[in-house]
Amino acid sequence: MLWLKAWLETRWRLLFMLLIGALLLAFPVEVMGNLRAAHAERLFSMLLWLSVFQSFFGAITLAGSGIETASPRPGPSDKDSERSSLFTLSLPVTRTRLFAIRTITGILESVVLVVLLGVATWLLMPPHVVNTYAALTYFPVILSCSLVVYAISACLSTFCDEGWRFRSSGLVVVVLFMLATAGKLPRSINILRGIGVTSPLVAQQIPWMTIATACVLALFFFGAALMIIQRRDY
Amino acid sequence: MSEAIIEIEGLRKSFGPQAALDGLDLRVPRGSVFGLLGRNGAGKTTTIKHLLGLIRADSGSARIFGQAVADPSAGVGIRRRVGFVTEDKDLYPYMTVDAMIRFTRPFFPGWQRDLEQRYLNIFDLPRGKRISRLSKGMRSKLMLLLAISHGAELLILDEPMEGLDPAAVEQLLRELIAIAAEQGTTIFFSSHQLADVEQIADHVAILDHGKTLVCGEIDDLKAHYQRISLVCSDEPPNDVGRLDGVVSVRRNGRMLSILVSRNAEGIAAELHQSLGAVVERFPVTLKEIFLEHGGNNKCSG
Repeated sequence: MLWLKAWLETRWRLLFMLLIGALLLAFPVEVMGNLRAAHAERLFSMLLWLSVFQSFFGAITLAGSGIETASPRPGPSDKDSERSSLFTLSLPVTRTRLFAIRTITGILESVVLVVLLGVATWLLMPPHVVNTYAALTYFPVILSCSLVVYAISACLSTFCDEGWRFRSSGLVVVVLFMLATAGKLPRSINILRGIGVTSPLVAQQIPWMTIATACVLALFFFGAALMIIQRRDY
Repeated sequence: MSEAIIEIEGLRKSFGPQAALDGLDLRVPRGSVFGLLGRNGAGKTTTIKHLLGLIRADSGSARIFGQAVADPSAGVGIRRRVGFVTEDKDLYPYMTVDAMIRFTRPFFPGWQRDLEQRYLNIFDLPRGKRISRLSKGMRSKLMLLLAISHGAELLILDEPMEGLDPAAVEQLLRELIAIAAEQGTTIFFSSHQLADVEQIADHVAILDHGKTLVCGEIDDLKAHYQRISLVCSDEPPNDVGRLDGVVSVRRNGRMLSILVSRNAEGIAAELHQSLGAVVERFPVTLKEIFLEHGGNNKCSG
């Protein structure tokens, strides 16, 4: 029943994200006629970063709703869910299980988001620039990187209200981008390289190191979020 | 002394510099209807939240069914045997009454469908209506139904009467009495509605600033607590409050009105002898005890 509850509470955000993604894709479709032949490289680059933006934005949005029940303070728009969380926490269920179900639901929804929007983006890409193998191998890379963003958002949502959990997650991603662009992020933890210069779409090979790093970082932030939830007062 | 279903010893909890619980002691006998009284901020909700494992105390201990509530592994087992009604009565606004019942049922192996049906009828709850469209009174009733139907041995109710109209309060009180009488369920509820507490509770505790000021059986409290009234021929002495058992002293010219918590007869005799005044004793209500009790930490239960 907790799975059903998690789905009922997050389904609108997933639909919202799919709608946002579809609207964002409408722009390249509009300009594609002019770009396809003469500026294939620019179109490719634009769609690549669009898919990254969609995935990260989706991860932040879904993480915010995904563990609302486990969040500490009532934000301006989630007072009801915060107060009903007292009922949830009074059920004979451990906090670990509650957190796990909400988080896994959000991750599964992120997968749906990334796959659906990724396929749509791939279909829009210039056919002679991206081959099928590179496009397919790009999915696990962007999923693992989205997982890090999701985990950071999940962690932040354990001590931020709803407004701030979204803003602070966005800020973390922006800072990450700026550090990566300035070359100040160590290569070992630079997950953006895996979806940028070393992505299968560019380098034609799977960046296993990036995937492994992303998984370790995600586990770290999920662990931190769980520790906070276990210790905090409601 | 009957077996305790809830035992709290020296519980302390601070939120920043603010002490919400300051060495709270409480003992709730099995089968009792126990009213937890106190002003806003006295520590009632903090106590209840701690019992349900929603907050962790800084020190002290609390046990339900003999198990420590601070132990997370014991917490799941405790919550399976406890029914809880929250202060705000907030459930999932996007679910209907029926969906809420279907959601809650699987968590409790001892769910009793006959009780569910019975209270659906008694409370006249519309099964197909969304919770977001229910009044606070209806949400209270639904929460109570969910708490009762899983065969809880202990009901913990945080301000169950708050926000209800008088008719709904009356119905809720009637049902609580019936639940306690028919199923032997222990009811532990917080309130600042003294009349309601007096109507259904057989035990009471008064909290103030996170401490237990008074606790025990209501009948015992009423038997021990008395008001002594006397008119002195001269200026009344200032040291009456020092007598053992005196809770508060009010002065009105040469007239003294003294609330005592025990030994009323002895105190009255002593005052009569020492002051030569005409002394009368009166019974007191729970409201008087609540309003006039001082800051001493006394537990008669």
